[in-house]
Amino acid sequence: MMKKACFTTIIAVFGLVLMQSCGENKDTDVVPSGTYTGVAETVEPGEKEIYVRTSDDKLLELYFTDNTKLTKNGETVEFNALSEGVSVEVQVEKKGQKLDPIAVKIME
Amino acid sequence: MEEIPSIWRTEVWHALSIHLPIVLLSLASIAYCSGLFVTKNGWPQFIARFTFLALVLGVLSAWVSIYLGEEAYNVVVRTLCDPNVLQEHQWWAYFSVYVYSAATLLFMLFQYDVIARSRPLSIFLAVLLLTGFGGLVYSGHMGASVVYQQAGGTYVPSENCVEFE
Repeated sequence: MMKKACFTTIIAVFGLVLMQSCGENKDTDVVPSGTYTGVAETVEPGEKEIYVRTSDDKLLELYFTDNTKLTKNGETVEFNALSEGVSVEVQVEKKGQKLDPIAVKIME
Repeated sequence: MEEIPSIWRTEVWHALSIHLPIVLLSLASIAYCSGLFVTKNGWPQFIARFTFLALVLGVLSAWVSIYLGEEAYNVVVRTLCDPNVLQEHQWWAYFSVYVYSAATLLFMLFQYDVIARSRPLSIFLAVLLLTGFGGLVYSGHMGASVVYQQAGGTYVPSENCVEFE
């Protein structure tokens, strides 16, 4: 009985972990090059990456590059100035199936 | 003149480490499933020991390679024309390694008589190992697509190869 309970628990824990942590596949959109406004839904400082939910409900995944210009009140700021929930205006360039962020403006 | 980059750069460690777990885990699946149909001349014992060793070494090296893959991800993802392929590769890699880890745990419980071996549990383990194998194959396919279709993590030599002179 004890062995059975132990086994069931282990399988359940593995199942839960499996469901939780298989990478980070979000259903993102690829849009034409241009400027979009929206909200930074997720900010991942480790990967210098943000997910922006646009006003027309598209989810843009943006990996910052060395050329990405991040500004706030007209001044250049560091990536850590971004936080989840802030409004942003992003200028992106579509290359293949990815979006390169050229400029990201943090709105007040 | 452009220099040839080091073979030991961050994004290459994953590619260097991943083939060992692929081989070990694939062989573990094949051996265990074959063992279900072999009953004579000491083969079941041999297959059980082989499967156990391949699973333990395979899962440990797979987790090391997952870690190295995460390190490579940050470098490579910005250079790809379709990052979704890399994300798909990552998702299936995690899926596969979690399934193999669960299978290894179950196999250990069998081996050390913590739980009694029964036909349904043996078949369940075979299903786990085949599921993990399927995930491994698909993840490998996606990884190959990242490298061979999008040159992920690879150095593309100049047209006239001067850096090799």
